[in-house]
Amino acid sequence: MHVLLATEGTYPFVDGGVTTWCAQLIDGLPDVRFTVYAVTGDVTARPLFDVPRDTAVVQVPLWGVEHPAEWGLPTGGTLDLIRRTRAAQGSKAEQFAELLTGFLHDLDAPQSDPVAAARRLVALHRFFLEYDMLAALGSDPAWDALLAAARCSAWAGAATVGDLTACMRWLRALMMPLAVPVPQADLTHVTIAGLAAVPGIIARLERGTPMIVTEHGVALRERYLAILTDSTLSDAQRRFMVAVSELMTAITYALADVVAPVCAWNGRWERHLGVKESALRVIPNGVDPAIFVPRDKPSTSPGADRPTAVAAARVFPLKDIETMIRAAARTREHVPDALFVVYGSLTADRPYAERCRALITDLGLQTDFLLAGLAPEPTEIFNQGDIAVLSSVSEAFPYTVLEAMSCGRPVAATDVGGVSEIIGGWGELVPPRNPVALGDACARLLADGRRRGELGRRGRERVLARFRASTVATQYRALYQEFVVDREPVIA
Amino acid sequence: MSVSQRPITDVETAARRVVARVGLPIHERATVATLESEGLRDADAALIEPGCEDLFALGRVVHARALELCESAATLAVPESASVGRPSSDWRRIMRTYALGIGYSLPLIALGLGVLVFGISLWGSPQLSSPAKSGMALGVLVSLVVSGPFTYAMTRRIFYYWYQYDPRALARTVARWTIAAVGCGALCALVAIGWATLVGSATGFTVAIAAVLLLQGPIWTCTSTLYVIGRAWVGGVVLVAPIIPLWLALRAGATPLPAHLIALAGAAALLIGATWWSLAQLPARSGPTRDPLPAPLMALSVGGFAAWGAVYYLLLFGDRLVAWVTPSGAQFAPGYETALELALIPLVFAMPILEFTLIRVAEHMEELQDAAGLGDVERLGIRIQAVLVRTVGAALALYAGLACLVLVLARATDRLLPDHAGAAVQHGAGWTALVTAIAAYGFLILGLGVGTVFQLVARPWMLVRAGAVGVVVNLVVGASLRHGSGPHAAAFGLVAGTAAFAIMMLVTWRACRSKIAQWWAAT
Repeated sequence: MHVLLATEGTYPFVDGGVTTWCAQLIDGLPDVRFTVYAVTGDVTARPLFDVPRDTAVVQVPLWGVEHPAEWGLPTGGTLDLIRRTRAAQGSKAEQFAELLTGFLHDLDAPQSDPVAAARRLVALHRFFLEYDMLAALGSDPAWDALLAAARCSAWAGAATVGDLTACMRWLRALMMPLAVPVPQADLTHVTIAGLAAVPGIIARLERGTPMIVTEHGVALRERYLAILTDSTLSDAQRRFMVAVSELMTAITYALADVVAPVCAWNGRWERHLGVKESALRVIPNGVDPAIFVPRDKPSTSPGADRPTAVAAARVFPLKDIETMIRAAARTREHVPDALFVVYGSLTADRPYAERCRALITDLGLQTDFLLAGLAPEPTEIFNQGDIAVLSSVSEAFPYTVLEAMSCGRPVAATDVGGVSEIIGGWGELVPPRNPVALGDACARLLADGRRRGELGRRGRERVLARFRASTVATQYRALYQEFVVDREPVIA
Repeated sequence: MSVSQRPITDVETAARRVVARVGLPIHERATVATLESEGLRDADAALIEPGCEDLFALGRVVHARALELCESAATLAVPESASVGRPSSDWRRIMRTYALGIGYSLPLIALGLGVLVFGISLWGSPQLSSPAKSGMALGVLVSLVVSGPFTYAMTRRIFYYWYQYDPRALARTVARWTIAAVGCGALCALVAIGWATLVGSATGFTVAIAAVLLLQGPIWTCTSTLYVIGRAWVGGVVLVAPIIPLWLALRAGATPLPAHLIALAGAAALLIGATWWSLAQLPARSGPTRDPLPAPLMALSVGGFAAWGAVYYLLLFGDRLVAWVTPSGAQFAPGYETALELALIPLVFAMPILEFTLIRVAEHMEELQDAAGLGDVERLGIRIQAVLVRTVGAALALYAGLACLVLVLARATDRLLPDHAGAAVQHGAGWTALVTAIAAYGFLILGLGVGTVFQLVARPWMLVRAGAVGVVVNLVVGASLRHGSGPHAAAFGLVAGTAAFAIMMLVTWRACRSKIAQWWAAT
């Protein structure tokens, strides 16, 4: 069985939960051949680690690309490129403008007919395989099409010429996956309802290849939060980006054979966005309990002789480390020698990390709250403390909570996403952005050793029963086998 | 975020929190996403008036109220001043840009300084024999035309890497294009040797032209590199430094041609070393180095700029080829050369203003675009034109001032150049050539000034087309007139060619200005 695993900004180029999931999936299904179709932001992104030898990686960068031919579009040399360019700007320019107009109209009503919109994406893909994408987008009819669409579209609103320029430049990036050939596979497994779904959509319509979507966070929900809080964007630009995200989500859900969220919480969104109940299958994340084993705190750990709360989180706003710092101050009121240690990258958002450092100083927590950077032994992070903390304002089914529970450490966590589905009563749940509640929860756990031990034991039992990585891999294998059958292409 | 933040218990608080977090929420689902990030769950939706089934239902109610809040806030908002953030075009900026721009002309300035201070340059001295002078001068011109494509293509690429903060890719590109320029120079040197042997040119001519063709390529590419990375002064110092030992050697009675070639080789070696040293000083990028473009793409990506490099130098120096190359061989025309070199002085010092044109047009494009509604899209070019007129006008004014100074001095004294070489342009054909060349370079500035816009929007073929017309006119008119009138008549070809180029650029601009926003968006 050959699976095209489509990722966006994750495996194998960026570390994080989805990357862990992909690595587990590939390792856990040695009988399945994977090709990774990785959409990356930056053109210079390089894999962080070696993928298994029989796993191919097709990288599709969005930004900094000088020409799609750099990334795998077969060409017959310079003359062929010139032919493609001239045709895209000349005889075929009107044809492209028509396709672009269709796409832009679809942005206006993303939910109205996603399958027809998907067909237009496939038509664009076919066009780009034959003619030059950049030349087509730079042609007069394409500009006229964008201008005409903007004059009557909801997303354009009071757009300026600058907004139109920004949109045109985004289109160049967003259409990159359409300009790259889609590898043949028996099934496409998409990890996000976004641009990474493009190969799945094309394969679904052209070859009848089944498509499974596993969303870790709900892409559209996260795009709303990211786009709307980006102060560098104008209103029209925000609307355009939101419209693109809504369209890609609608198309992905409409063509997916199965949408498999990692938690029931995400399923609410997917149902709301039109995914049929019969197509929804929750498959949670899992951990390897043989790797994440409960051990005593080592004598060398920073909190060897202090009640210690440990977090594994990149220091950036979504993890709301500021609330955790304030919570630490609150915990100290009840447990004076309590120590908080955060392991994770300090470079994800440097200004935010600086703000956190300043807050630690302001609250006099220099010896009680440590931003420890990347952990030397990631599998031993939670064994360095007595409890685990999660302060995120948005999560799906976080590995850190699973890993902490697997290590027998009770968790004090914000009640976001599928966190409650993991903890299931064997930890403390508090509302996000509430340092008092989080601080009190940590204090309760740190102060009561007997309760801590009980919750830790029950938590590990829960992981062993429900969230083993091997069990999860088996569920995906079964899903693959269910859909890998001969299918006729949907469109000729 | 605040410790004392009020919990969300009603629609009003929810709507205000949403607006505070994201501004205008755009879509009710965006409101739901924001409410979730505030910690609300489906269960909370039922507890908040009017009591909703889930967060999506509550989101609809909150969203409607959030839109009302945004609308009333917009009504109350004070419009921002139109001048906020607009960069000033003060003289300090012009001078800074000018200083950077002049760096590109450092080889020519070094040449001029050498001539004025020592009476020699790396490429010529009174002690050189006539064939050697001809060989060196022709070698420099041919190398400019031959290396021009390499230099322009390379400059295009390294500017790209410079702005991507990728010094290793930049260094790799410089190495590749410099090697290519050297290889091409070597090939040209071989061709020159073959040709000179065939027509029976003097040995001095052959050795001089071959050596210059071989050595000049890396001098041009390294000078461009140093300019791009902001170290043009290093190139200037390196090119001036070998003149001193050359001057001493010539005074001590060294054989002129070998002394010149050794100095030139020394300058090339020093320049390559200085370029490498400067590249090594650039701070390393934290991420990986960008891979080079595949060859077929490279041709497509830089083809237009390479062609413009060739056309530009042919337009600029085509008249000299007309003046020097006759059916009986290449013959350096010192009087004509004097006129043209004097005419170059105001050009060299006026051209850096065009750097400012480039910057101001780009800035204005951004400003105007952000202010222009969709109805103004085609009028953007006309508005840009005002900036173009001002900055190109400034360049032309500076040029005119300097040109007048040169003309007055040239007419007044023959001591403008060492060894009374100025006498060649005080009267008669030399004077006519000087005046004509000065007019010609004025047209060139006009054409190049308008052409900056096409460089900015990555449309080099527009320049190539106009330049090619100019070259053809230059060569045809020059060759026709030179036939019966001697080398000085080549200047009429130059003025006709540059005028044709300027007219073509103006016509092209007029035809294309309505598309400027479109092309800007496509870059």
